[in-house]
Amino acid sequence: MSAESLRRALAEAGFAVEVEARDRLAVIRPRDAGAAAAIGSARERVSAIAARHGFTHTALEIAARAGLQSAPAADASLPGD
Amino acid sequence: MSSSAPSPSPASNASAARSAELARAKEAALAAWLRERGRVAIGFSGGVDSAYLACVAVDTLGADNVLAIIGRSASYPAAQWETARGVAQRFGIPVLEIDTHEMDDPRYAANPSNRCYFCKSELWSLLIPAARARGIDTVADGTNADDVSGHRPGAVAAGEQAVASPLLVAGLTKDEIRTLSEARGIPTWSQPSSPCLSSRIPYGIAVTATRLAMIERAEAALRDLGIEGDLRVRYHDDLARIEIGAQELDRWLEPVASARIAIAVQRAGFERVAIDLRGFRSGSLNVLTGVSAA
Repeated sequence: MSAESLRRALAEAGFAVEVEARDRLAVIRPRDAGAAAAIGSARERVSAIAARHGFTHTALEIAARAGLQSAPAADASLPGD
Repeated sequence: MSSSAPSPSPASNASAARSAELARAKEAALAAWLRERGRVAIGFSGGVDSAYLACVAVDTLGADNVLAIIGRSASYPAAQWETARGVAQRFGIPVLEIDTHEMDDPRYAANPSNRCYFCKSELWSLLIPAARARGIDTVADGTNADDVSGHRPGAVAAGEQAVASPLLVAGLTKDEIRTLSEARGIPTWSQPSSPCLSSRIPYGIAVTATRLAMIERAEAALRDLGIEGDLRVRYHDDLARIEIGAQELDRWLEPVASARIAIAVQRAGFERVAIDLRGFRSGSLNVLTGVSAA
């Protein structure tokens, strides 16, 4: 299984993401909020694509600030706080 | 025109009645098993199975002849302990608490695929003498009829120390135990299964008190956010992989909701957070690490 081959397959399917492989876990990092929403809506399809590349688990990395990919400071306030 | 849901068919009503009758018959068999022993000590976690067993035991034998023993350690969540204490208080179940020290066993801490064997060996090696010291010869666990498959090295340790499994003997399944628990008003009837915190760490990655505390804090924080049902925070070094019920995914993958999850889990000590796209799967880490059988 290869993170790069999965990334390419997801790109061909219209998902703009980075992929990190941790053994048989694929960590999907969306490039923007639109990609995150698209992955969430098509999670079964994304999991199926990842499974075809040998990954038993597929997880969408989430950020503390809605819509942003990079991890923010841990003391960021909760939305609505 | 009525807008109410269609009524169950006579056939489905009859099937439900037969299922309920079968469950009650199994419960009667459980009570008979308990009466034959006279006195019983129960490994009591406050989970669905041991809570039900303890309640039936007290109902059948009287509180003077039952002892529910809680083994406490870093791998036993505080929330679970509170549930156990609450059930015991409400149903008059005598409780003994014992500190277990599986974390001090390097064979356990190294987290091999048979880790549960070392934990249960420690647990029963303390519980059985405690029961015997109080004149109780029979020690039982909450293993049920659904627990005979899968990767369960802890059952080997129980077998070696002659721990009885009366729910299994009676043929009671998890669903039946939930149904019978609800009928008795036991609040754990709808509680998700709750294996120990170490089950969130992949085999081969050391179990430490620090890691268990991070996992426990993260799961407690996610419960506080309102996540119900099955929930696991799986440990992957700096990354927490969150498994929640598949029916909950739409709600929690929404941007603001997922941001709240990320904040809660990062505050618990993880740098990165990801939500599993297939949701909760029992034994998920066994699949990930290629473990399929005991």
